[in-house]
Amino acid sequence: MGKNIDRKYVLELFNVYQQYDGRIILNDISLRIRKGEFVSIVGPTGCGKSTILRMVLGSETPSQGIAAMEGHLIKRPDSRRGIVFQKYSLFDFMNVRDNVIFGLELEHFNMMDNYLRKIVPFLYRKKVKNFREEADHFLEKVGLLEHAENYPHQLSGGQRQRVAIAQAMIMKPQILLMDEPLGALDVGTREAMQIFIQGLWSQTEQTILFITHDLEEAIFMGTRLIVLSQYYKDGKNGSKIVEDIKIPWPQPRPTTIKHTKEFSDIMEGIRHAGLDPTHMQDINDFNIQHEDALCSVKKVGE
Amino acid sequence: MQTKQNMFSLRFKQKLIDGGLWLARLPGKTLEAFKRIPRLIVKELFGIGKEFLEMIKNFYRLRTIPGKRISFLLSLILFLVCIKLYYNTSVERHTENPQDKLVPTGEQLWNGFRKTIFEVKIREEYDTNGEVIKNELPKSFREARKHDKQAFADRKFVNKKEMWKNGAARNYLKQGESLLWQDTKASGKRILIAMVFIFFGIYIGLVMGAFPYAEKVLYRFVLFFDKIPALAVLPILFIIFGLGETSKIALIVIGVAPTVILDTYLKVKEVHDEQLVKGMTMGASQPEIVFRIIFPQIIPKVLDTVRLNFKAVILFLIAGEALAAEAGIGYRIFVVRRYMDMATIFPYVVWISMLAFIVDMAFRSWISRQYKWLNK
Repeated sequence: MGKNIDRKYVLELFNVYQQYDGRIILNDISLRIRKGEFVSIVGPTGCGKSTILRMVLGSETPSQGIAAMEGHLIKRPDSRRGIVFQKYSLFDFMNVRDNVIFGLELEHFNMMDNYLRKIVPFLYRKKVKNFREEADHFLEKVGLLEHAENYPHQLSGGQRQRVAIAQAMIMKPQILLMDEPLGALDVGTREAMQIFIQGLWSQTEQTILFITHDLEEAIFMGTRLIVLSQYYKDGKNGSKIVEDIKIPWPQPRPTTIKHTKEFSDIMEGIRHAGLDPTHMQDINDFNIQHEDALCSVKKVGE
Repeated sequence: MQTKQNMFSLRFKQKLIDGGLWLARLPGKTLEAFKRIPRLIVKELFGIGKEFLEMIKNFYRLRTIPGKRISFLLSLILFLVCIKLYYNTSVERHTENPQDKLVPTGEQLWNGFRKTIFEVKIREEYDTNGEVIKNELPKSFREARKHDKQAFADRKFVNKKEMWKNGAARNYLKQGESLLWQDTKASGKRILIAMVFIFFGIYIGLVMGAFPYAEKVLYRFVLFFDKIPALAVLPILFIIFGLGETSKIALIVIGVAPTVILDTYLKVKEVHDEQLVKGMTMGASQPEIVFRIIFPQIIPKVLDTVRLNFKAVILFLIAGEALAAEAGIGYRIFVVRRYMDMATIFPYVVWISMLAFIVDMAFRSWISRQYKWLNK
């Protein structure tokens, strides 16, 4: 395993199980993500999408199985994986530029440097200037250079998410994780942000793992679509990967693509596989009616 | 085309002309303003009348907006009632007994104010035999200065430096402090030292909130410590630490620090987990997360708590000083209580309230200026 070997896969999950208090959330998930892919994971609420993301991030360890990045086990969150949350990604007490610079500062300045910087600022002037230029470059990329001096609470929701993306991208992560980043935005902003993220991806070839509960968004955004759903047919609870589809259209895609027949065909297929919210109701009813299904869950939990 | 210099001189001339015109118009303007005064008074009176009628109409109505003038007048009512009541009692008691001290008249109060605030208190000094040396001081700083200058002219001092060092003027400043100022200095010193320890409590709260193992060690203990009534342990403190400064400072710290620690702890717990994870993905180490991500978020809120607890600080200070002290605001109030010297107690109470109010206001404005991101 030398450095000169170009590894094909950035991220690998092998037979991952996850359970809380005996309740199984994820059931045998295996997933490999190549470099430069834009993977979107979609599934109904509570099916464990965010759990997968947290395991990839390292803030949670799987109860069984392996989560690995570049051939090494993931233990805790580090700077090789960037993250954009739905909310609270930004630090309120810093302005936009400082938010973006912050990662570089943490990387290059230790605690001692941070205190010395306030006492003898001229020693650090050159480095700080470089950081500033880099941050401005990223802010220009996300189109928010004129808001660099503003505080996060002065920005709109979409702008805040764009700053969060710049903040994560400046660390040059191997993979960028997005946990329903557009979940709290209104429809218009949401569409603009979808196009923006697609454009960013096609410019930078950044590997992205995009999580959403909106099927249309998931199909529209990713080059590869993974569908998670609660799985009950063999009597075991927990979510499984139901579909793994390659989405053929080149990026960036026009929004009109959502109204084509191929698009609706893919959507129909996935709905059939078990994503439909009305279908979720069926699953719950099934669990209540068939007690043996619930019993088997307990057994697996033990 | 005009040159730059030319432009500048033109502008300067224009300004001069404007200024001259303004000066020329000034008397006329002042006259006009004076002429406007009666009309203004009439307008204000009409406004008050209008708002008064509105008040009568809407007094028992929800969701009305009172006018500016009537609001101000209404806010004064209770103060005026208090003053009137006080005045009536005072007059009544003084007709019975002209030497009454409990409810001093305005003249007595004014004398009290002058005695505590403006009058110089001579600090008694003892010589080696234990006898009191009486310091005879000049009545004012100016007089002392005059005296010094005369002495310098008589060549009693070698140079001006020595004159300042040994002269009457410095002596006046050093010894001739008013009673109130002496007490304020003594109390202020205690508060400042106690505040240092209370700020140390912020650090404990931060560690307790951030690190779960530290929480397990500290949390129960601090909760229990918080429930101990500080005034009940006051005798113990006096026995352990003696009657000196330590016991009073310890009382303030024991009374206030647990609140600050627990509040900091709660504020740390309120920080969203996303922020910590985000910090980790930016390569922050554990102490960096605590001191560069959590701390800046909570510190303005914690400072607000310290500000609100300033009242408790003063409460414990006065309680401590009342029992045993040599100087201090609480000490003075409880000493003159024996002589029922209301004319001294009143200015002290007003002074300490004013002081607390000013400190509170300054602190608040400093916080809002320092942490602009809070003003959402």
